[in-house]
Amino acid sequence: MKARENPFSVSRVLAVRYRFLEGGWEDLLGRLHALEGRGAIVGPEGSGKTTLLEDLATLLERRGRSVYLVTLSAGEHSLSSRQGRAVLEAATTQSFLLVDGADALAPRAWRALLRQGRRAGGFVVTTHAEGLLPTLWPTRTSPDLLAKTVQVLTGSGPEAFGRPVQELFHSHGGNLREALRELYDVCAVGLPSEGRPAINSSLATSGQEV
Amino acid sequence: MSRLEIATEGGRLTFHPGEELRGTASWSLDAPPTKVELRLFWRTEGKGSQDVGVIETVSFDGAGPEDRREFRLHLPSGPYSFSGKLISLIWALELVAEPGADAGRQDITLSPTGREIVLAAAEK
Repeated sequence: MKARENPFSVSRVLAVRYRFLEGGWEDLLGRLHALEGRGAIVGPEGSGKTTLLEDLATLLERRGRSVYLVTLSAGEHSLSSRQGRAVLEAATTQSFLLVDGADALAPRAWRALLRQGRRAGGFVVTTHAEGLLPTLWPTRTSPDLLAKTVQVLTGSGPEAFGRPVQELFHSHGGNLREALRELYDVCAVGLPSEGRPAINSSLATSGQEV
Repeated sequence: MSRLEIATEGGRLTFHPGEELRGTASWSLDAPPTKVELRLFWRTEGKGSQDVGVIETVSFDGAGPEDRREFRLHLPSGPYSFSGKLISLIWALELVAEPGADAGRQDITLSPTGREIVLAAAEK
């Protein structure tokens, strides 16, 4: 299958927005209000932290709030000058400051960010573990969520790709991003007419073949 | 509801590198626009994160809420449209109006062979 036809291409996966397992936006916003606009979205890899933060940004903007979203990658231990300007802008204009991947920062950089975050109109970060800020929302995944996501992308469940949902979910430790990447490879290689597709593990891991 | 449409001359969707692409952009918007733009760009699609390259932008001055404009774009020499298992490169035209989030899009193929280049592994 060509990459542009693959239902699990990154752009298609990113178009699927956050789905709450429990509660909903009013619960999250109520908790954010109770925390005086400061808190952390906490969860493991592939559990939807970034998606939830992006959706929160969209929701706040729709409600008339000015929002600055700063995205940090693993290994970014300090803010770039552009990111630093965005943080300063958020602090001086009383805007909402949203920081994805805040636990990548070195302790000193985090303390500097925290000072600015306290001055901003709101301050929400994503992290893998609790402790940076009071927990605003824990993100979790489930086999059912994985099945629903595959359904949205393809109209079928993971079983249609030769992977029982429980097996697929647990083999990736609940990391939905990685589970969907495996299904990308299944589609890329091509589904056999019967039985489980042969997954080319070298294709999945080498990144060499285009 | 807003409508934004792109029609290439003669309905052609496949072009050679360096060719001129002519067409018509038309729109019917819910509110008078502050800006209407046509963009020629390529994007990647596949397993990795998406890359985008905007090659040319045409602004339609004095655009009304219901309007129609002709355009001409000079296509570059590359990159060619191609597909493999892990990545595809797709050329497209996009018509956007502000304010609003509506857009009209039309994928095209840019290739010296007149067809998308299919990398061997994706042909199976």
